[in-house]
Amino acid sequence: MNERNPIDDLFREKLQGYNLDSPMFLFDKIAEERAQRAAVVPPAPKYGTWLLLLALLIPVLGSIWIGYEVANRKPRPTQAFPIPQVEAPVAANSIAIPSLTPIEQEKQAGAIAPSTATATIPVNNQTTKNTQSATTPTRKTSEIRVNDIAAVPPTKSTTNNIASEAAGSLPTILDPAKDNTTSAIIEQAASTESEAPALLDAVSPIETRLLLLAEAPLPVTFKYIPPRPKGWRMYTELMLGEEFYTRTLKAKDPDFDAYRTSRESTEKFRNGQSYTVRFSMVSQDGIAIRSGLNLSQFTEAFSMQYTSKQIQSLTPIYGTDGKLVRMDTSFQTLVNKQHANNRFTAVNIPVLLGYERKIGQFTLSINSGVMLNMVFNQKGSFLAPDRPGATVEFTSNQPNAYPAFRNRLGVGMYASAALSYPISSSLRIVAEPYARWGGGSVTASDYALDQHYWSGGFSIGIRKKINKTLVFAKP
Amino acid sequence: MTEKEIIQGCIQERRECQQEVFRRYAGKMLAVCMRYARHQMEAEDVLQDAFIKVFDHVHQFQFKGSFEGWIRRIVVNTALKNFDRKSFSHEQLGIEPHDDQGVEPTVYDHLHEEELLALIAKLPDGYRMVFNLYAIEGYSHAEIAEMLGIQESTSRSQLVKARKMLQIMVTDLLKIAV
Repeated sequence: MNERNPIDDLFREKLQGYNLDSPMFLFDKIAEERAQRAAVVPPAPKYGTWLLLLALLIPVLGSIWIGYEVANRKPRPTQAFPIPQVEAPVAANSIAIPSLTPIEQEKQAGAIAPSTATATIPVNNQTTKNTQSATTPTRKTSEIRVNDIAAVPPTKSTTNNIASEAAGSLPTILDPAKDNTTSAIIEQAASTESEAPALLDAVSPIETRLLLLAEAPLPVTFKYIPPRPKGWRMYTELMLGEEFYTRTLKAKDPDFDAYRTSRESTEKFRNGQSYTVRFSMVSQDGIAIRSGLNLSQFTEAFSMQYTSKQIQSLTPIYGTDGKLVRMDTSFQTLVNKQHANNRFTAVNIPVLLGYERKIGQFTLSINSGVMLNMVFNQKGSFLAPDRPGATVEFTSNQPNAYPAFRNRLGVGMYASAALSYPISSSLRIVAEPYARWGGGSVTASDYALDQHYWSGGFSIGIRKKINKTLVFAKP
Repeated sequence: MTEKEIIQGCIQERRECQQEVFRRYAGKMLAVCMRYARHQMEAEDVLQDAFIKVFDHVHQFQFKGSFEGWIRRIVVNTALKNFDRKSFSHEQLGIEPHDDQGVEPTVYDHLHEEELLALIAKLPDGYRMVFNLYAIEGYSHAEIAEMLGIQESTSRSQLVKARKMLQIMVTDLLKIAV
């Protein structure tokens, strides 16, 4: 015994294990109270979490892949652009010279020296020989089309034109002065200037036939790739998306744990949509800056049922002798149901940084950044935190609305991976899975629970190129 | 049914298991509530709230300690939430000097539990809470201070005053009994 405080021992010994009769009548009250809170809402679908994880996974894997590609990127070969070839630039069968008449053959044999004939048709001296001997056509690109040669009258000025056209038809990325092959062509063409007048008569029969040949299409094509304009390319994007939300509720005080459980069991996510108008600037290196306006809207179903009344009835049970044996008690429960669609709307400004990479016709981009929430509106009702079984309405801008939610949410995070495909010269179709974290709690500071959201979605839309580039002047 | 089966039944929301839990522990817990409440009705309200929490959160019981102890903690916490902390500031007065006549401990054996409960119920809220928590539940002053949101020194002084008050009342009771 505690000698200093025997009064403590007295009360402890007598009362610590003290047992009163169980007040069983309270059990029915407890059951009824819990029944009022119970709801019949089926559990929220579990696949939302998986979709969210998938939406998170896509940007991550995309980033890893692009990082790997960038790290292993090889420099472009300097001869990537087709260089004019002197040898066999055309297919043999496409420029086969029709057989000459005997008179023409005689004229050619007597008047045309091989060297002059070669000079008459610049560039194609060996081509002609190859044409006659080759059995398998070879396809090579050339800046100088046979059409051009055939169509040009063999005058002094014409040969100049051939040379100048040959040079002029070169892609701008090539410098004729620095390219040996190109220079050779030009020099060869220019060397015919002095001989051209003398050869006119001699080549005219051949030229006549070449003129005929010029009508036929040639398999030789010249592929001109225009250089990318310097500066930032600009786009506008219009995106529509379907969103899935995952919500977490946390009681600020353990006393509200039961309330949190009640809300979780009476509310479930239904659907969500996202609408975005975005402006993008993309540098030559693929760095993208995007911003615009986003409207997100999602709906949660609130559904509950509660016992409004319990009717007790007694049924007498009589024995075979007609005497009362017992009274059977039966209970009839009247259940009320309540349903509401709670809608939440947010207006956000996305500020995103991205990286774009072309893969064939597709363009893959990875984006991440912040979503600045400007407006957060709510409409609907849910269980009241302070009155079990009762509901409160929290619709924004209503005078008697329960102030459960904030009207601005601050900064959230956003990450996405987008794939686009051209459908015209200036339009691309875009598919963009994304994930978003809403930032802090959407509830007011004096509300009993913290309420956070994660969302993931899939947007599709149109990207339109703006036919202007933005160039920043170097300082 | 074993206690584990009953608890698992409660997790599955089986009414007969919940009823069995209530039948087993409600009497003992009502006695706990009586120590913290001012009267029977308040004790029953506390008990009702506490058992709603027990059934709502029974899935959180990890089968590591005593189930009775787990219920008891919920009951005590519910009882503490039920009283107004401001009562501490209004209960500093009212104890008059009293001769401590040094009652022999054996004399206490004549006191019944109901009488002791009635004495505790006469204590002001703050005294009653601190005395219950310290003398009967075995919490330290630091723990009590945290649970009630008061200073440790307040807890100590409330306990001293509660003891004194109870001593007076017990002595008076014994005098009447004699």
